[in-house]
Amino acid sequence: MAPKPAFELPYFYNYRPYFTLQPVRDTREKQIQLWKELILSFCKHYGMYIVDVDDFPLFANKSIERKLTNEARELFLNALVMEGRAEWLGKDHRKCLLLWRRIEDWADLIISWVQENALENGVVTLDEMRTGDEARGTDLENLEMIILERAVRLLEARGKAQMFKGSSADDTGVKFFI
Amino acid sequence: MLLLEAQLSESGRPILQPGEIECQLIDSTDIDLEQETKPPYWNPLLGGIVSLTTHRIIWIERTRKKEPVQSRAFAIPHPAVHALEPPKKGGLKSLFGKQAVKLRIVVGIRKDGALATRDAASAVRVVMVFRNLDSNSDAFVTRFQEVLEAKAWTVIPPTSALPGRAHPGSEPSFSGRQDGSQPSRAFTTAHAGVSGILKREEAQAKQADETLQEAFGDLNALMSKAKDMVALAERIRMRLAGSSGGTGGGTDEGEGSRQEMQDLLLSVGIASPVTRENAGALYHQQLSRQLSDFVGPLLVKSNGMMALVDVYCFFNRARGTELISPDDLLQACRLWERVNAPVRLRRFESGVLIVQARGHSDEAIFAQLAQLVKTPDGTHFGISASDAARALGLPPALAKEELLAAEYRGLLCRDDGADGLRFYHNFFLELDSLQEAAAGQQQ
Amino acid sequence: MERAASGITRKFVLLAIGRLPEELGRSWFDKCFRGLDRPLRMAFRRRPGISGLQGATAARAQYKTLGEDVAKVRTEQMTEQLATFKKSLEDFAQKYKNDIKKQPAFRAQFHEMCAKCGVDPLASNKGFWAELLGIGDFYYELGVQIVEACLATRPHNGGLIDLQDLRALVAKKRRTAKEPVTEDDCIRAIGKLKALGSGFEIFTVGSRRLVRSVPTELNRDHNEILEMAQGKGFVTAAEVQAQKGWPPGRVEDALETLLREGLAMIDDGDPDGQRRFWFPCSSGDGNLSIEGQLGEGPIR
Repeated sequence: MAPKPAFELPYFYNYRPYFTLQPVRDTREKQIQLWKELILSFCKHYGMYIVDVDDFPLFANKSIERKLTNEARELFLNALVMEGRAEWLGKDHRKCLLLWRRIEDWADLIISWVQENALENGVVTLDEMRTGDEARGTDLENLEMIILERAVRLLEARGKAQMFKGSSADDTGVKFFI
Repeated sequence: MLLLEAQLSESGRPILQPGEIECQLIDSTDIDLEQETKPPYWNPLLGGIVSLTTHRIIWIERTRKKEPVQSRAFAIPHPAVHALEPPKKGGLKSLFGKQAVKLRIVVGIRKDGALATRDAASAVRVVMVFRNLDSNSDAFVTRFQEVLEAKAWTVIPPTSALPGRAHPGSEPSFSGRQDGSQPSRAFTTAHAGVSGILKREEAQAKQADETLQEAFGDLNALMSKAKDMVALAERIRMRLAGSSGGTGGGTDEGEGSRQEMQDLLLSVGIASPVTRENAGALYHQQLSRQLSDFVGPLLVKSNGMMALVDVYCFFNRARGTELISPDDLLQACRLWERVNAPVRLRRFESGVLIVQARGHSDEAIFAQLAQLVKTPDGTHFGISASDAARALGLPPALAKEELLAAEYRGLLCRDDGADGLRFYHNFFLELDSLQEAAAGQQQ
Repeated sequence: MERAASGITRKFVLLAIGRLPEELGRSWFDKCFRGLDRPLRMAFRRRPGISGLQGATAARAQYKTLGEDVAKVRTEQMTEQLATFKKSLEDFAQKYKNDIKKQPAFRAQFHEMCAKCGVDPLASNKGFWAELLGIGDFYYELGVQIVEACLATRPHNGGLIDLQDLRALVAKKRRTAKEPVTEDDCIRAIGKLKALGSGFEIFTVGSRRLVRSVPTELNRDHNEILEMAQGKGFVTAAEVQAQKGWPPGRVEDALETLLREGLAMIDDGDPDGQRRFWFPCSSGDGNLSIEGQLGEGPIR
């Protein structure tokens, strides 16, 4: 994958108070909104799908010597979950799946990809879809397996695809009916 | 009918085409045909207000009533104008005092007698008579000529709001003159030594300095003249204020000269506040109607009210050029009361000014708020200005004003805690009525 | 001609003077009206004989009420004087219009002098000043841009912004405009915005000027804390207590209000463990990028 251009951090990221959960409700609501947007765009920019609550680069800003408390991190991610833009992986809330693109939109993207690569009525494995030649340079490249699987399942429900379980998870195949 | 019909809005203002801008207004004007035998369908248009725009000249029937009645309006598009024959100065008649000024407009017509914006078969002479002897008809005619030359109707209007400002000769000129000359700094260090540049810069700075000196001198001279004039204006204004309601003010003449004085004062930069007795400058009266039209649809989108500051921004952005000042806006809004406009200006306790539809009442909003505070969230946490803003579809500042108004009314009570200012259902109201009931029973 | 009649006639004639053509001959008139004072004679010189007398009678009839007459003359006087002044202004504008636009110092001086004369060149776009000097649009547009900039930054600073920051923001937005904008210009534009009643106000705190765009009222305590915050952009409760000598309750109240109004934010992340109260309006050293404050968002 070609190196991405540097991500431009928004103005608030270097203002220390934004790393403390604000007590005044109005202010906090604005704060949450800003962080939600930042997390989503950052992940989208770098093609990240999983946020490790304890280890996400955004949550600590060395240049101003500030980092978000665990409470704040969970709060912001929860806000994304409430909005349907993220999902917790596991009850301990240590990892969060980011849906900066919704599953439905991934599904649509897959359809276009299938059409562009003339894979209608063809069969590919899930693994090929995210690491194969046709994936290179597209948004599907290195797509998180969990998301890919969900999107394909959605297409299944719509009657546009059929999954076949192989001997291992990597072998799971898909046939597209478009 | 020779002239084209022009569309008017509900409040009697011409509906302008995209890109069309109003340039000048003049009142008490007739439009007639200048020929011996006039066609049977022709009726002279008497005593109307004429609006000169970038695209047309529009005659608007003037009604005396307060209520804007559906007036008639007719227009001559500029492309149909072949020539202007400006009024002649002097003449024997003028010995007897001022005469109504006549402007003759040569317009092209087709074979069937209708106006021709191109390929005219022949021409007729339309005469515009300016009956208000105190109006500045010269300025109007000059502007008319300018507008015809500018041919703005051939230009497709830009889509952007306030366009990038382009002024003739706007390149910075070190001589400081408005001569449109290009800046002389069109060379690089390759062409002259650094010291050469420095010397040139120094010389230019010095020249600018001297120019500035002269400029300040001229400014001083101008200001001393201004002072005299302002003093005179003040005296006359006070006299006019004193004479309102007296014998002088009752007659039409008195009314006319007062109106004229307002206009004069305004042009000098002394705004006369609109009072019950006077309607202020003609400019503000027209602006008032224009604003009423403009604001109507905006209010529908913003749930019935809008901060005056926002009206200022929206209106000026829509205008693009020849913007109105905040004072102009305020004066125009104050006039709404006098003409029963469908919108009104309202002031909250805090001093915040808003524009509201005339029929709008707070009751509906209070009802909404009352419901909001009775929801589970509202009961436990109360509602903040942001909560109210979301629910009412208003900006937070205005939502806050409504909350305060509801509190004043006794419908809500506040809690100014660590979580910010929040409002709750006014329990005390119920407590009061309970107490009253109890007291009543005791009696 | 008796005195009384000549008084009224004189006014009537003077009114008409400006419009009389020069072509009419002199000698016949001089003969008839030699006895009259000079200006009146000059006036009559231009009238044909009989109709001159008729004119006088007509005048007498026309101006029965002296009061009306006086009012009309004053209007005439005013109009004439205005015309003269307007000509002076036109000459001045021709020469200096560009300077007013391009040279902020000159422009500022112009405004100061107008203020001293009791003239408000920005009162209306219909005024001489706006029309001839073309400065109206400049300020009214600036007003719009200031309102928009304040609105865009309000979520961050609660409606209070340093004048310097505001000017920089607006200047950035005006990248395409060729006219520089100074703090003085902003002050004038904001001065006009006050009339619109949304709390626009400029006030001084310490060495800085702050622009308020919400109707929040701040008391002395608040202002003093804002002043303390200037430079580093924050204060701690302990600092305020130590420097001002206020009881803790008073310090707490003031800081709490500032927090509630959105003018301050807390920061608990400092290694020394002390809670800091940051004031976006006091961070005049621009530790915030300007694009972000305009809400354009560098993301996406």
